Parts: sequence; C-alpha cells; structure tokens
Amino acid sequence: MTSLLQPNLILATLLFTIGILGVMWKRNAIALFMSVELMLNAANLAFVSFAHELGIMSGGILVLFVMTVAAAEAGVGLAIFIALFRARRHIRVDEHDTLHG
Amino acid sequence: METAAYVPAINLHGILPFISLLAGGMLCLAADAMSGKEGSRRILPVISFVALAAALVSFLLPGYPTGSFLENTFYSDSFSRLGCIVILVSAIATTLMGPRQVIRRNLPSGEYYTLIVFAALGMVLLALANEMLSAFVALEIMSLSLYVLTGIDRRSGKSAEASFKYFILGAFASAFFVFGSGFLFGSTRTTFLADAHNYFATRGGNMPEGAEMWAFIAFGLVFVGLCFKLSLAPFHMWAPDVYEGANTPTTLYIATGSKVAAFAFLIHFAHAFSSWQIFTAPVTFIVGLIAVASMTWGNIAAIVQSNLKRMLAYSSVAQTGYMMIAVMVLVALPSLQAAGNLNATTIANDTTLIYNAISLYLAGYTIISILAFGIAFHIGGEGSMAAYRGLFHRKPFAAVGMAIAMFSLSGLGFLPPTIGFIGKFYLFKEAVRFNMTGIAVIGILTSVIAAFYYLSLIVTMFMKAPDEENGIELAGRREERIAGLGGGDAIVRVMLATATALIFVLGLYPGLFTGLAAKAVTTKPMTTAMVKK
Amino acid sequence: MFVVAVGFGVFSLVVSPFLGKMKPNPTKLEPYECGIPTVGTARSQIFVRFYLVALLFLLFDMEIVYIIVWALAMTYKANAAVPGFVLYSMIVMAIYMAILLIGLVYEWKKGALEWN
Repeated sequence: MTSLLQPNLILATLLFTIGILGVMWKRNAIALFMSVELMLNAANLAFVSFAHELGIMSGGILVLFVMTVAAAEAGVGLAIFIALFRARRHIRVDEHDTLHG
Repeated sequence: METAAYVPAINLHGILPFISLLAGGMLCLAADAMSGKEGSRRILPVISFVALAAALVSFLLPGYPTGSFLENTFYSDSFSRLGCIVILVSAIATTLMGPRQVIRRNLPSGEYYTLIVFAALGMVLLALANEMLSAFVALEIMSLSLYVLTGIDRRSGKSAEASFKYFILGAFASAFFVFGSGFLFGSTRTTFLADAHNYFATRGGNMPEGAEMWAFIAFGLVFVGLCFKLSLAPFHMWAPDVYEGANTPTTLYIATGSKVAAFAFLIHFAHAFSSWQIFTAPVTFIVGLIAVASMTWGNIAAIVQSNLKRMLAYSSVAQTGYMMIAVMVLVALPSLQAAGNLNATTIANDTTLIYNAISLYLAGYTIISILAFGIAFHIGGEGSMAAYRGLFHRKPFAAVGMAIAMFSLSGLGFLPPTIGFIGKFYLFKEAVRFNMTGIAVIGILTSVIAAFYYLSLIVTMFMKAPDEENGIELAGRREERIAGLGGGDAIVRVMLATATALIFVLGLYPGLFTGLAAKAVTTKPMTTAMVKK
Repeated sequence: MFVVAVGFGVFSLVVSPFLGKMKPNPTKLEPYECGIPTVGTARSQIFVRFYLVALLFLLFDMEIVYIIVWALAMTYKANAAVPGFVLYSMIVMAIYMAILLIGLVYEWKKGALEWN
C-alpha cells in the first residue's frame, strides 16, 4: 500500500491555509472562529498522519488533547461572543473599532 | 514488543507548585460557589494569595529539583526557575490589586481570583515545559484564563471587544503552535524537546527526505505562535487594544506573566534546535530581524500614543524585542563555541552568564511594570493622559514613583543604577561578547528614541499645570469611596513601595536575584532517558 | 465502468431540465410539497440559553474521551500485571473526578443547569 502521508499533509496544509485566509478575510465572529477550528483540525490531521506513518501512538493521543482544548476554546469563545453581542448588539468584526491601533 | 506500563517516579517537590496552584484554584471555585457575594469578596483574595505564595516558596526552597522531572515532560534549570519566581510575583501583584478592582467595576470576584490562579498554573507549567503537548496544554490554560480575565468586566463594551480580539488572535496563534508541533513530531519522531535535541545532534547532518523541511516548518510555525503570545513586532497588533481594554491588573498580568512564561518556553524550544548545524545561521538572522523590528516599531509607535496603557503596550513590544537579543545569542552559541574550540566549563559558564542576564532583564521588566501599572491602577482613569497632567501637584508620591518607573524602563537610570539599566547593560554586554555588536548598537539607539516618550510623560506629570476638571473624580474612584476605600488601600501602597525599593536594591546588587537559583545546575545535560519503546 | 457511471449520472442531471416541461405553481414550489406548510424563515434567532447547554454538553463530552482511554488502559492485561498499576490509575482517576466534581458543583451553584 502506498503511503498516504504526502496527500494527507497536502490536505492538512490546504486546510490550514484556508483557515488563515478565513481569519484574515471573514467579517463575522462565528466564521472567524470556525476558521480557527479549521486550523486546529488541520494540525490534528497532520498529527494523525505522522503518527500512522511512523507507527508511534503518542501522536494519536495528542489529537485527543487538541480536541479537548478546542472544545474549551469553543466554550470560552462563544461566551465572549455573547458578551460582545450584549454590549454591542452585533458581532460583525469590522465595526468594532472603539479600540483602534 | 514488551509494553510495560509502569508507575512513574514522581518528584513531589517538583510538582509541589503545580499542586498548590491547582488546589488553590479549585478551592477558590468551591469557596465562591459556597459563599455569598460579600463572603467570597473577603475570602477569595486570601485563598488565592496563599496558593500563589505557597507556589512561590516551593520554587525558592533550595531543594527544588533541577533537570528533567515527571517523565521528562518538564525541565527545570536556573532560568526557568527564576522565570517561575517572576511569574508568581506578577500573579501576586495582580491578586493584591484584585479587591479594589472588584469593587471598582463590580466584578464577579469568584471568577476573577480563580482565573488568576489558573493562569498562574498555566504560566508555571509553560515556563517549565519541555515537551510540546504539555507546553500546548499549559499555553491554553494560561491563554483561556487570560481571555476571560480580559473580558470579565461585562458592563464595558471596551472590555468585551478587547477580549474578543485577544481571543481570536490568541486562538490563531495556538493553531500555529499545534500545527508546528505536528511537524516537529513528524520530523524528529518525538514531541519531547530533549529527544529532539539529541536527534538533531546525532542525525542533523543526514536527515531523511522531507524531515529537514518539516523541521524548519515546525520551528517557523511554533515560533510565529510564540511571537503572537509575546507580541513581537509583526505580530503585535492585538497588544495595544488588549492592554487598553482590559482592566489594569489584568493588563499587568498579560504584560509580565504571560510574556515571561512564553519566553521561557521559547528558550527551551530554541535550545532543542540549537544542536542542528544548518539551522543556526538562518534562525539567528530571523530572530535578529524580529528583534530589530520590535525594538524600532514598538518605540516609534509608542511616541504618538495618547493613552498610557497603549503607550506601555508599545513599550512592552520594544522590551520583548530586547529580550530576543538573548535568544539570538543562545541560538548562535553552540556554533560559536564549536568554532572557538572552547572546553566544556566555558560552555557551561557562557550559558550561565546569558541565563543570568536574561532572567535579570525579565525580573527588571516585571518589577518596573508592576510599579508603572500599579500606579496607573492606583490613580485610576484607565490610562487616559489627562489623569497625569500635573500629577506631581496632586499626588507627589505617585508622580515620583511613575517617574522612577519611566526612568528605569528607558534604561537611563544609571545613577544610582536601577534594575532596568542593569538588565539592559548585561544583555548588551552579552551580545557584544559574542560579536553581535550590530544588534547591541541598534538596541542602544532605540533606547534613546524610547527615552523621548518616557521623558515626555515625566514632563507631563511635573511641569504641566493640572487640568481644570481635576475636581472630578477619575473613573473607579467613586465606587471605591462608597465602599469605604477613599484613599486607596494600604496593601497596594506597600506593594508599590516594595517594587520601588526592589528597583534600586536589585540595581545595586543584581546577584541577590540571580543567586536565588544559584544551586541550580545551569548546563543542560539533556538525556535520552526515553521511557517507552 | 466508473467513468460510465459518473457520466450517466451527470448526463441525466444536466439534460433533464432542458427536456422536461416546467409548469410551476405555488404549491409545487413549497419546500415540502406534501405536509404541513412552513412557518417563518429558517434563519431564525436561537435563544442564547441553548448555547449554554451546548457548551456544557461539549465539556462533559470531552471528559468522557479521557475516561474511555483510561478504561481501555485498565483492561489491558500487560498493564494490570504491573504491581501498583491499578491503584495508581485509580488514584489518578479519583483526582480527575474530583476536579470535575468541583466544576460541576460550581456550575450547579451558579445556576447554569437551570432553565429560568
């Protein structure tokens, strides 16, 4: 069987790049957050494919931790979005310019 | 294949700080759930202070282990131990300012203190981490707590906005960090930095196909992630907004604690790569580039700021740029030593000297920040410059303290020597000693630019007449007066006086601080004590 | 074979709109041609409290992941043979559970589990 490492890595890199572009271009807070999650999942994919290729379990275990952290991040993130929504009544990013630098 | 799981030998003293912080945080949470609003406002500062102080004491005790512990996941050397001491000092300062901040903005005290303690736990873990997964989890414990601390003031739109920006860019940086760790795992087959170090030392010359590129990608991505957390120049855009929007104690915490922790991990991380021959030259260059960018851009942008907290944000960007000089020297050190045919004792000695210089610098930066942000907090007004016009005529002690902080931060205060000056002096000295005169000169030049805005604040405080509306109370002071804290409280005053004293005492006797970890073994005898196979 | 199958699928999808006769009327254009008529738009606002429930679910969900891994390690024969392993694992899980328990108590006392 041919190694799936290279296609997987290419896919992971693509997902990561899409995530970066999303963070830079999207204007809705939830969409921004989804882009960040995409980046984390790209990292997970890289970990799993390396772990599979090298035959080392720890890479797979690491993914569980990354997923947990992503869940915690989602919790905190949504709470922050709700707080921001309550303060401003919308979550469109480009209109938040009270603090500008 | 014999897969023998085993019960690991746990160094109890090594994890004592972790236990104390975790238990303290949990206790805060439980106590807040059990007691009412007034009760938790009274109890929680005490619990969190005790937990932080216990952790600090366990780092200060001479028996604190050096080298790897907890199955090689953590590594303690003189630098990371001093870093942890600095982190806990900054956490304690944040806690001491807590009661007043809670009253000022009517904050939920349970979450406030709990998150300070948990963030301290994350920072300490990160500063000692020597493995990518532990580092990532530690980084997230720290960051998630800080995001919430930034946005804890739910009545303020500014606070929510700052928290939002911090969260998005912080999560972005974390994703870089994880993706980078993935590539490190792929190229070196391990997430342990000690093993990666050995891998580069033994196989760095002939790595398998692709692994070399992956290792470079890994360093690049993790480095970018850490640069975000350290707010270094091209990645600093969140810093001014977050510093301005967050409440002042949290700003202090972000500016000092999180930076020291991320920096300590960066040193561990860069050390893992430093045994790789072809890596040294390009990375020294990139680190140098980022250092120069941070020093110049941070200092120039700080000049035009009209808010003290924004100014200090840009100033901290520049200060982190100075710290990167030490990383540059440390990355280049092995190849310099290889070229110079030095023996092992000199190598150990060099590393010790650089570690001492950089930990002194970090300590200086933290103490001065405690003084500067502490006074900004003490007089209130959320950093607006109007509060500082003619401050000397209204609050002479606060004005003098701020002036000392500014002098010291600029590195000008050399008569008598302040810790800010001494820290910069040793840092530049190390750079010059290893033939990096160029970056030292840029550092000195940018310090001169920086002197401009530090001194202009002093001029504002001493020379200008106070504004007409100074009769009006500054933001936050009215709530304090109602709560019977009209003149501020004694604890914050004592804290500020101590910080002022330390600036001069450590400036005269820097050995007092670096001696705290003198018993630590300062070389890094990284072992391949891999436990599983 | 594969090409033929895909080709047939694509062909019939592309061609059918051109060949068929279109006689649209309001009843036909409804999302559900037979069944109850739709009410309101699909893009309705969701009550914020659902987010809270979703968050709590997410966190408890992730806790289970670790417990499963722990349980799998416990059932592994070679592990159980190591002296002290079972006791050690039990202590570790007890600490983990204690932390979760404090979190749960906190949620409970703060009223996050109530629907008012």
